[in-house]
Amino acid sequence: MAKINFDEKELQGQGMYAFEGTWYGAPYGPIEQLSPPISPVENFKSCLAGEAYEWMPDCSCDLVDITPHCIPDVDASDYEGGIDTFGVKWVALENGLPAMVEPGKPVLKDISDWKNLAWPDVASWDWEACGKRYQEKIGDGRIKRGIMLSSYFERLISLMDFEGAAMALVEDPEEVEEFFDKLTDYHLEVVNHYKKYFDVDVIMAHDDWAAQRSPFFSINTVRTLLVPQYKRFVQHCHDLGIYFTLHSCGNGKILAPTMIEAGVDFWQLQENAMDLEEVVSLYGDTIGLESYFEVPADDTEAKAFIINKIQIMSKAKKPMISFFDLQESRSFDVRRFVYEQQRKAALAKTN
Amino acid sequence: MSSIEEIKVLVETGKSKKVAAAVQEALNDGEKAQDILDAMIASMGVVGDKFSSAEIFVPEMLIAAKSMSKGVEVLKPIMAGENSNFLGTCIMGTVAGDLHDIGKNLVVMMLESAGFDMVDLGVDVPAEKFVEAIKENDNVVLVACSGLLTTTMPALKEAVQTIKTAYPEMKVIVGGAPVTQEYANEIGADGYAPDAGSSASKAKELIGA
Ligand code: B1M
Repeated sequence: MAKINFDEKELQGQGMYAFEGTWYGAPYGPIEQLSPPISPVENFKSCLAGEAYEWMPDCSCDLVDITPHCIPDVDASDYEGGIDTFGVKWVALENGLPAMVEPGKPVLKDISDWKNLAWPDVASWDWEACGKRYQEKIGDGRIKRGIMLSSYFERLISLMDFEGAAMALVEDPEEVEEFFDKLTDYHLEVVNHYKKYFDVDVIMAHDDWAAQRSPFFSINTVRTLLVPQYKRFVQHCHDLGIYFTLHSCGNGKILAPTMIEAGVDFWQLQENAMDLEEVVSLYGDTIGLESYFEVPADDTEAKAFIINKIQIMSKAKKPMISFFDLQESRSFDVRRFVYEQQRKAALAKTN
Repeated sequence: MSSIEEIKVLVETGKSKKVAAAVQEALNDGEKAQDILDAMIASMGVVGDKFSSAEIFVPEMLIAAKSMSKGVEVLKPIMAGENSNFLGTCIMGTVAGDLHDIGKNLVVMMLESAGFDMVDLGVDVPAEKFVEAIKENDNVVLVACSGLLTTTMPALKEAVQTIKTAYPEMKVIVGGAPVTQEYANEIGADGYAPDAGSSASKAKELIGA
């Protein structure tokens, strides 16, 4: 249960938060800074540690996702496309959606050719200047989360196309394992740079393991090929005092136990691919759950929706939430309404 | 184990490198091409059911399909001209604006295994192209449209309605991650299947096979 009673003064605005760079290639949305009783970082860390928090942490307000342009993957996968960290070409789309890997031209036709890939020289990227700009703008008032795009299976897809990647997992598991092993070395190096130049609190790795209705692959495949890699990746983060979030879309409900085995702190999930209440009841005690929601257009519906989602997420031991609102005008202040509900949920929490 | 049984196991377990030789061996042993094909079709039915019930996943299904096609390559020259297991022609494509084809390919494969003669229009298929394909091909009994993006769901609707306007009696089946039975009903499709495994039985049901 939260320790400090709610005070209306907490709703006082202190201006807008500053941002640096772009968020996955798009401008960051404007976020107003309110006057909570403790700092968002302190609150966040209590939640991350599984302790009482004063409000349910909000990933769009209390945390900054860092997608720095010094990492080639970031520009390649934004809206204009380009060449990613492993030399793969991403192409822009006409429909306004983010870029995608040029289809039908896989860099690797056979996984055993991975040894011929030009391995990135992580230290040569401009971490220092990039990190400095972020540190100056963002400071230490919010949680900093370093994003790592295309971790393992997603990297394999970008190199081999989806079908090639999926088949390689079951046809050439030994080669895939060797490739993933080397990929983990690369991930650890990136984490070291994120720590040194951005002083990140959290690393979030992107790796979709499931489609809308079911996992891409079996739990055995995850246990054999992914869990050992994630264990090493997560442990390295923990050794540096960094928490680990796995962003994994789709209905990966039956794979979640493997995230727990790997030591992942938070699962950023796709709530509309699963029954959220079921996921919270199954895993809410053992892994942090983070979910993001689009607020409905109708104002009355929107309020009920926000209350309902916060209530569901509140049943998890370590919840994180964010709402995105595509409406230009509202009859109420969404930012303050959400904050109040997050505060109420924390005060009502008994575990 | 009989050579046909062995082929079934090789297809089901996705041993693509071994299937062609096993099919050749079965032919050499005097097995009929049609029986071998039927056995492989039955195996793919098992694979489809296992996929629908989440016993196996996309990789296992892909390697099974790859194995079956290796076997079919051996049979094709022998069976050329035979009209085996023919349920009619099915036109399939991913709708306009959508480039996703993995799910569609799995559905094509399952429908082909079930006995449809498949005409695959590929991805990003404009509504009119489905209609043209019905005109250009013989004995079209079914059109199958796939859509993976929420933003291309209107294109799915347009495809179904364009086909139905031109050919009101034509059966149309739809599917894809954001598609639901309700949406299929709403846009006037005759059928919907949530996954590749169930698409074959739904397709057969629609044409009364
Ligand atoms: C006719 O009857 C039927 C019956 C059943 C039918 C049927 C028809 N059709 C399908 N089914 C059913 O049977 C199949 C087998 O059971 C199933 O098919 P599925 O296709 O659902 O399942 C497949 C077997 C496996 N699933 C897939 O193949 C999709 C996997 C994911 C990772 C995916 C992939 C691989 C790709 N992508 Co794309 N992609 C994603 C997907 C993310 C995810 N986690 O799911 C998704 C679908 N993509 C998305 C997006 C946005 C995009 N993608 C794009 C591109 C690509 C690649 C080219 C890189 C690649 C496609 C390669 C290819 N050859 O298809 C871009 C769009 C390009 C375009 N115009 O189409 C791009 C815009 C790029 C981007 N920036 O993300 C998202 C869609 C969001 C939405 N709801 O609209 C997405 C969910 C990723 C995400 N998390 O945001 C059933 O749906």
